[in-house]
Amino acid sequence: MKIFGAVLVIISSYAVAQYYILLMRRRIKTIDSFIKFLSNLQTRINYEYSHFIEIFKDICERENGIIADFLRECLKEIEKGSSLKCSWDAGIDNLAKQKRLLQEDCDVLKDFAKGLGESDIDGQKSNLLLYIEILNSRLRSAERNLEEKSKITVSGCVFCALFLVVLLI
Amino acid sequence: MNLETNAVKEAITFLPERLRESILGLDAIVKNSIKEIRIRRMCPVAIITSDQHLFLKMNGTTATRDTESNLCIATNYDVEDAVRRLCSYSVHAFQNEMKNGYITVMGGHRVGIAASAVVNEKGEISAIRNVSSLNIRVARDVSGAADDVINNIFYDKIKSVLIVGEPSSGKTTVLRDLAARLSGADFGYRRICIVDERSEIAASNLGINRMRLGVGCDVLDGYPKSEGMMIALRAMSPDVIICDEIGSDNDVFAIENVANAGVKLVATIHAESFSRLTKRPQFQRIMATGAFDVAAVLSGRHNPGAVNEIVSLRRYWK
Repeated sequence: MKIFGAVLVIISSYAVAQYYILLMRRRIKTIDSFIKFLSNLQTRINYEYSHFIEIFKDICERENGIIADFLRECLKEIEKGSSLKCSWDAGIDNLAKQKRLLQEDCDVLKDFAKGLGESDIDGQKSNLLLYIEILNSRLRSAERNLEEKSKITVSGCVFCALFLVVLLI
Repeated sequence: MNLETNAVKEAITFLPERLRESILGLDAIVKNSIKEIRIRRMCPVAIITSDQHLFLKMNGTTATRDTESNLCIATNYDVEDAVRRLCSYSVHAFQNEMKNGYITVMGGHRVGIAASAVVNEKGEISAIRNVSSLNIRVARDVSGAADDVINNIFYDKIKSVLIVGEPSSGKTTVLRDLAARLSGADFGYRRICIVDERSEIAASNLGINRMRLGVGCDVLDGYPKSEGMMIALRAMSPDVIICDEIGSDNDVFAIENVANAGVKLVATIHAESFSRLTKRPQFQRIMATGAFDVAAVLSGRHNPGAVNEIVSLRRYWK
């Protein structure tokens, strides 16, 4: 019984560690998706002068994944009468609730939306370039974080579990 | 809901809900006769019908005087929000249209913009800011609008026609109906190419023409007129080229090419009357090309689409 209990404690702490790693990976994937999305926007406005609603609809029709779901939500809000900025912010808050982003990532993405569609083509290109750069640096730091913390998290949780097992036995 | 009401509904989709609801709540007779809706910052919303100048009230009715109570005032937020929605939250995609002072919305309705201009060092307008007022012109697809032109000019053969009229005299409506009729069975399915610089004639959106056009119409949407005419000539081998509001020097060069290629041209030009038009240098330049056979002068804004006068232009050729 004791051995069974000990194994259970170790397994659960390992699972907790894996969950934290999963959250870190999820954040990386989300930031990476946003970088790709912003690059896509850059290309589309540069060569087609398309407007954002048209691009959003197009992405929703063609793609699946985090960004398509996020944009679907935005478009739904816009159709209800919300502004682009409000719908974007609500979508970002939702991603934070799903623990896909940190508060700092959310702030960056909300700041980006402040300039979205508010200026001419040069202004939009500069805005996109700036935020692609900022998100790239956040991505690099998130990847470093994952590399450094994944092993520590697993070993930390397992050691804590072992300590708990020893204490209880 | 009839087609007329749909046109108004389509034209005001970008307005804030408060204004939209008040306009859609108007009596059907007023709603169906709306020609323009004027929105000015901190002023009552004006509704222009074919014979009246009205002010919108909050309860979905209208007033004839701006001194009446409960008028629907367009706030700063209303105008700013409307402009954002008007350009689909993408100023960059409409920067040229905004510089030119209008944006055409789905359905071919033109929204005129009055704002402060930002002028660059070359003296050109590089952008606009602080939009102060919007003028929504409700476009209507009127079947039979070109009857006068067809019965009086195209009775024996297709000619090159210059349609002359003041603003709101129905020039674009006539042009649209003419395109539909000439490309139909009555005229043997002529190949019509429409150069629709402002997306007003065909109201093309995502490659689909929202206005009723004939089966033989090809639309060059958003092309500058002069380039569009040259492309139409080279690529589409049309019988007739149709375009709206000609007049610039570039247009004259393209018109000359169209005439030399033996293709018929139907175009519109702004002028209060034919006598006034003849005094303008741009008329002399256009006539020098020998492109137009006839001018159809429209009656004016009180009788849109009706032809007042038909003038043979051959004597003006040089």
